[in-house]
Amino acid sequence: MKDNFKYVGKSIARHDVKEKVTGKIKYVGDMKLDGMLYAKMLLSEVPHANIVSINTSKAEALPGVVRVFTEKDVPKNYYNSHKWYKGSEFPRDELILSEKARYVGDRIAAVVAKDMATVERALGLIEVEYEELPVIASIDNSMKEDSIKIHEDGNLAFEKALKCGDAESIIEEGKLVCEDVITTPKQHHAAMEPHVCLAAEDYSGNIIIWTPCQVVFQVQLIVAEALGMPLDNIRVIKAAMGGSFGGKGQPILEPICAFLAKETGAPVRLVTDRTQSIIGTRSRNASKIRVKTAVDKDGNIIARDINADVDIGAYYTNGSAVTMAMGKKVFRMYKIKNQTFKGRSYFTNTLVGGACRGYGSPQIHAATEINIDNVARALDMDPVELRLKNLVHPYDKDPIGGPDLGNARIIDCVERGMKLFEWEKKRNRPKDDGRFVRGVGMACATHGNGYHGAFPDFITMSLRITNDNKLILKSAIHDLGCGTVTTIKQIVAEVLDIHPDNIIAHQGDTALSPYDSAGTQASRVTFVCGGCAKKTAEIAKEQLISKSAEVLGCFVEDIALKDGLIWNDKDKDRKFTYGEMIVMIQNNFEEDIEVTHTYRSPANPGVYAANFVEVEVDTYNGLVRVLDVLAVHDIGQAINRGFVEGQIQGGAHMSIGFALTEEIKIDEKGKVGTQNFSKYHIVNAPDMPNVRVELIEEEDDNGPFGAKSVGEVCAVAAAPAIINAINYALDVNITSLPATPEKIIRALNERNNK
Amino acid sequence: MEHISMRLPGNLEELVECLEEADENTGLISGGTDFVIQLRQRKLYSGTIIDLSRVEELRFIKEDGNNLRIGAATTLTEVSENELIKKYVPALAQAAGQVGSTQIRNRGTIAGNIGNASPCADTVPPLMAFDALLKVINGKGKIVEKTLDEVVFGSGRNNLKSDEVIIEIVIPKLNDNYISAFEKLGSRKAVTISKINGAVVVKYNSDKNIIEDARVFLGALGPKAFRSQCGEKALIDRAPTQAVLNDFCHALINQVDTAIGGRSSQAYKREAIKGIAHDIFNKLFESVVPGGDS
Repeated sequence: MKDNFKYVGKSIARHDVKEKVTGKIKYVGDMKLDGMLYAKMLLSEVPHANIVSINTSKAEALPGVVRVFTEKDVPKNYYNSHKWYKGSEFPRDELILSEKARYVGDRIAAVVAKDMATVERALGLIEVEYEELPVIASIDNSMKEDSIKIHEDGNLAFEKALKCGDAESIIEEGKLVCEDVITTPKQHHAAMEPHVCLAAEDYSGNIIIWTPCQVVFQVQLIVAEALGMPLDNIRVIKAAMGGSFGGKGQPILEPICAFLAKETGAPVRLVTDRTQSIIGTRSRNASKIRVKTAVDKDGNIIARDINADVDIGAYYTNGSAVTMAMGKKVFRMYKIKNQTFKGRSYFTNTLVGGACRGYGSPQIHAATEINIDNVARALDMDPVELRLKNLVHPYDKDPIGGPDLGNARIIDCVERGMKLFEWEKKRNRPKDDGRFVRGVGMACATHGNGYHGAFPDFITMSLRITNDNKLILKSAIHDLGCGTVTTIKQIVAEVLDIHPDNIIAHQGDTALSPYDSAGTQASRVTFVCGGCAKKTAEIAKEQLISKSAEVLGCFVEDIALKDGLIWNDKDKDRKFTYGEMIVMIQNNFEEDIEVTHTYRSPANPGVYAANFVEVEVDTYNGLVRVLDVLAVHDIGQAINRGFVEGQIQGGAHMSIGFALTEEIKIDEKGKVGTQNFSKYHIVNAPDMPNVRVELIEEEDDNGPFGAKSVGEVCAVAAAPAIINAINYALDVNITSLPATPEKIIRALNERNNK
Repeated sequence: MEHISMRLPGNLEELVECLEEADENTGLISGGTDFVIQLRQRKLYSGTIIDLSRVEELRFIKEDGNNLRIGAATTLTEVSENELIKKYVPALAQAAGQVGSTQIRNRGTIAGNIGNASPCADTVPPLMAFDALLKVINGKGKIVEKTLDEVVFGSGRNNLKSDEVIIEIVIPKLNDNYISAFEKLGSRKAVTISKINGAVVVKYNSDKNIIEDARVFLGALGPKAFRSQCGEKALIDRAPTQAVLNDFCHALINQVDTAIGGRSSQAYKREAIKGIAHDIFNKLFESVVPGGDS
């Protein structure tokens, strides 16, 4: 960490912490508008069926019910909720309410009533007659030729290959090849706040939507397409966010909520409960990934062939993007001259996939990092040594032509972690042979910094210095709980040398915020939006200096600026706040300082992490305790140290769940077994280990003050590290996540029976 | 319009009055940790709910001659922290202390845990192992004593009539020669529903170093907790040695095979019960067999 920063790198409390801990903040679930109606959806209980009829008469007869809506009532405007900017196109297969049930959780009907109790009651009175169809609940069944088609064009939604060199022929030549098939489950985001939305029509027929979302302009676009309305008749305001993790990235409730408000002419609040949020929103895509890695005897990887089959669920959404995101990562961590990635996305009659913290990285790294450990095992080599031989170096190029890796410091992460963790000592100690068996493992991960190189990646911000000594930053940022607002304020504060408390940074509102091309996703906020904030602040600073020189009648070079004060360095007795200076600028010259700048992301470097873990397995019942996690992160520069540590702690938590307990269980008949938190287990406090955080702060050339992303890459490496530790401790090869007690006991039995 | 009416008896007499009018649409609520969820899931919109939580007479733990008596509305936290329970019925204190979360234990009551009749109810195996009796009152004010086996039907159903309610749990005090332990296995350390649970009470003669009597009960392996006679046989008239522990372990594995043979959970549970067996055995005899099994 550099100590020449005044605000950057410091742990400053998030902007709304007092309101949050005192309960003053209003989430959408707390908001109430005059005449507001309440709504909830009826979700399908069957995984695949034609809807023969829906009888709503009993529900509509219930006093207090305003209306019940079904597929017959909604406009037939197909949309794809993943689409986030005009000009992009993805297969459109969603409707506000579905005309057919394609998974348990599909949107069948919606009730609007005067109170919530009546809504709940009316939902139970809707009678749906289904004509059930054969069910495809797994990738394996989806790819069978004679399987029923979930959509007209067949069950293979997308396929694409990426390659460099010629992996196939080298692997065929018969070098040492290590092959694994790794499967990963659907994961629920488990935000504390289930999905919720509020919409109201204003006096001139515009729709206003309050939503905890990640991309206001995407919500506006999708609602416009779904309702067949002009974009600018829809105003989307980002509301207080009770957690997203990608789950609130795609607009799910917003189109239907806007539709209900329009049809009823009243404000409507649409809510989900935990079960609906688990089964009826989005999930991390399940995957089945085959990895074949060829190495020479010294442990140099000479070729790798990866085949990733991805279960995207019943609708397309980001089915192509998430598979491609997996593919791109595999070329950016190890130097492999010959590598092929084949990705295929399949429809199934299961929960729809979407963004989920890491966006493909947790799945692909689980596969490749478990496989790397198995390569090391086959070579009888320490897996850290194997990695160090093959990891990328700073400023390496992407072999398939992606953006340069930049100041990629994964080797530093591994070396630092190895030392701090005392890897060699722990790895080489004699193995336990009693009931409780300990073991250590590690894994690496990489992620990106936005969309540069793939999709438009720019943002406009506007910064005004007010005559009340405030800096008002207008932009479409969205604080998802990560501290984005405070992070951006720290960047502006550093540039203009003024305390962050003097800065007001508003969040996304399509009517008031300058345009942003991509919103809060793709780990782009600190790197791209932060970059824009920095540049905008720099332009404002230049203007402030040059206009102050005019006011003070001195040279620009004589202007000094520090701690929120500005003066002529040759007249040190007269110092002014920025607000006082603006008053003089306004009154002397009829001018103002309000800078609007559009910033195009200049790069998309890799961020990296190495996680080291120690686990203890109870060999009698298969329960695993994670005793220690050391997360070493290449982040360029922490803008807010506390937030960075918080992200890494939380990311590790999500990744531990991915490794051990979290799984949306869907049986072969398409039924969901984990409909609430009594069955879907996230790791709770008694099971959560201390996560030690170590940061490698070697500036990136393009990030603001050298900063790179952290929020997604931190949710990746713990899972494969844990699986590797279990496999090493027990001498088994578990390749199916999560490693539940049942799977561990099965693996132990298989080992013992060998 | 249909509605739900709440009855709030303040004492036993008023409770009986409420029960007198009870029918199949009458529900009982105390802590509500199970009932409220069921109310929502079953979408019940009419009927009567009798709230037991204001009947102070149902909230006590006391020593009464040869028995310990626990009021029906005593919370699981109160049971788990009570010195008398810890002294005389440690297995029950351990079980009550592991039900759900802290919040659930602070609200949920012991009679609720029994009456809800979940196959994996944690307090049931220890209560059965101690031969506890339940005092049940009906709408005529008549009090009868029933065994847990009589009251618990299993799989979430009980055998109580709509005008009957558990008011007290009576546990015989065993002398100092008896020791007991409870263990459960869930999918994580805390806030977890039991995949298997078990309670064991043994009469241990330390002079002769011999287990003179044993009662072994297992839960979550069928509709309701049951007695494992083969588990008991492995212990009775033997000294608590490693060999006995191994036999006990095998007996319980056989018990699992008998109880859930052919079910998909058998493969896991027949292995995992080893952990329960070892942990219970070690808890019982850690002072006798130092270190137990590692």
